[in-house]
Amino acid sequence: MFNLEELEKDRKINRLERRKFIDLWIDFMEKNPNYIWSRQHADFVDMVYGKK
Amino acid sequence: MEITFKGREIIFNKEMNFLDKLVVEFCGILEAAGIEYVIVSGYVSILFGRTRTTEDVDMFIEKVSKEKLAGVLDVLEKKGFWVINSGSVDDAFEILSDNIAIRIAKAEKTLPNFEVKFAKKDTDFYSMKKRLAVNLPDGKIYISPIEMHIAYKLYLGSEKDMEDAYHVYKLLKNNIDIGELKRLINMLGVEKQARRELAGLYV
Repeated sequence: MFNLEELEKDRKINRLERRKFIDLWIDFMEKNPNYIWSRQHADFVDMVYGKK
Repeated sequence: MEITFKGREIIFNKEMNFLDKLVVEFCGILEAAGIEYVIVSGYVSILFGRTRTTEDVDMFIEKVSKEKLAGVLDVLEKKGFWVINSGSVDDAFEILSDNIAIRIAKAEKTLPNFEVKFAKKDTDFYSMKKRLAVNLPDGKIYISPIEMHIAYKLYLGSEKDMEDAYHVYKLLKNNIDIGELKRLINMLGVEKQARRELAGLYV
């Protein structure tokens, strides 16, 4: 049997960490002009679809 | 940040990525055909910088006649799109009439695709009626009202959906109608989730 309590605890920690990442990313967006953050975002999206 | 809200219109100067350009192209064809539509769900969050991608762009269109559907599918085909899950207009119309989506992608591609449904639920009609025009550098598209986007994501409830809601709420909370957001959250029965996920909404 796996330790389900440990798994649940880990899931909560990961969830919080992802929220903190979203906070950091939005902070970056807000502190940078659109064409700085959105260029980085576009590079990411384009890379996923194999466009660059 | 250069996102300007003017009533039911948003002016948004951003670097257009591949997905944005594809959405503008597709929506331009619907617009030219005189078909009312609204984009909902994941792409709305991605449009506003959410750091994820998607295999589909969800949208509702008004219920149109088979003839009108045939017209727009013909234009789409000429512009290099194809319907993945249907081989004829009759079939596509039947699928849509059964409240199932047709999926449309660029020729010889499957991903990403547009998941198109006829509007049928109260929430679909709400989004259609109160849709927001987003003016992007390459063209205009219509998206669901931000308040409904956030509330409905909470209703859907997966981790991805919660993060989509959180991202958009955190980024745009000063530009939206908080009273309307709370009303929609209440109507969808997700106040508990909202209190947990949207820090500061109920303080």
